[in-house]
Amino acid sequence: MVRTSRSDGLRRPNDPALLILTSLATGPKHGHALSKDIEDFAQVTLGPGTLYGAITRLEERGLIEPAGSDSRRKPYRMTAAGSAALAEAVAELSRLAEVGAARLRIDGAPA
Amino acid sequence: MLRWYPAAWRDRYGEELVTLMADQTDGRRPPLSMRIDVARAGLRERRRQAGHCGDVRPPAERVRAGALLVLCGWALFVVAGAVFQKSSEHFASALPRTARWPALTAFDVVVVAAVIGLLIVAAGALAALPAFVRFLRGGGWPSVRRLVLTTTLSTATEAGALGALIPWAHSLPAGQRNGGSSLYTAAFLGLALFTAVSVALWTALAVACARRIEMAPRLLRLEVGLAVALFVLMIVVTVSVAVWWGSVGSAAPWFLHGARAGTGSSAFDPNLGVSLTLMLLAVAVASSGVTRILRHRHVLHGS
Repeated sequence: MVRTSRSDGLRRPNDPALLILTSLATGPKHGHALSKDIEDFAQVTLGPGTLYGAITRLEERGLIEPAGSDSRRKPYRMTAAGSAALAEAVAELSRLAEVGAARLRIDGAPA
Repeated sequence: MLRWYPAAWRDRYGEELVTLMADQTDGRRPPLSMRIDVARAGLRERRRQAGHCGDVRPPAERVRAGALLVLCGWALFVVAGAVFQKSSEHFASALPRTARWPALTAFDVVVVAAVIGLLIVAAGALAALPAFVRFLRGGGWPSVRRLVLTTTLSTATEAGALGALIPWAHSLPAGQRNGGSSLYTAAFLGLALFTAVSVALWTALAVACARRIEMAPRLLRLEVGLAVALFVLMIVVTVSVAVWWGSVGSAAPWFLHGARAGTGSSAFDPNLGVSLTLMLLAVAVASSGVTRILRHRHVLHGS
């Protein structure tokens, strides 16, 4: 079942679940690769507990799944439901960003 | 570090988490920030598995977890109440006759509410007894055996220690009992600590059993009702203790320090401070349980 981004807690740009889904959008990754990638594109360092807490919830909701192979470094990939949830979250954040940008222009405040 | 997590989680993700930690630290000892992160995440996972937060458990189980959280708050409240009881011993005679009624009324409210609270807990346990017997007959004994034995042993030891302490206390003059004898004070504090451990063990046992038994909708409604009533009582007692403290502190502050009448003006008493803090903490724990119940109350109406 595809849930809305609201119920998946994917509304904040720095939400670990959203960051993981964004990272997995380019292909399967294991924990360390995810952590590195997130650090690169979001400048956010997720602790191992936080990262695996988010992985647990995403897997429970069927948004990601194990991609098999190496047992010690198990890679994960995004499911179709995960892809839909990410798309919805990105659209929502884009709408928010657009509103923010538009209002800044109206008020003449610096970006 | 994995001990912070529930066993089922460790089985599924434990090895991956350890590998990630080793990767992130190049095999060195994890820094404190990482340890805190893992501990916090592990405790959160335990709370989620128990139904205290998140939506991993079905709504009926989350409601049950809410009621059990109130019970945990009550256990903490019992410890706080014991500290208050000790601090308030023989207070009435220390107060001027004209200033007695607010403190006496507040104290009576505490006593009555404590008795009602104990009756509520007993009623909840009695109501769940048939389901517990069915659970044992269904082969549930091995899953709670260790906790039952530990709790029984702890309670028996505590009862033995109490049995030894009471004659000793009666053989000492009041001054020796109230801080004069360091040996007696140490024994008393040891017993108090032991009692707190026993209360914690009984609570853990009650929670472990209540989580395992089959709870029919009617029983769940009853337990939830009792939990909410218990929560209300906890608020009443906390307010009454604050009123009692205020009344005694303004009329006879010397009583709070065990000093002679007419001496000292500070109403602060560290023991009462501990008691009230524990009570507030207990109310906070119970309120999170009641919030959880209210959030999923539709389950109670629907069943």
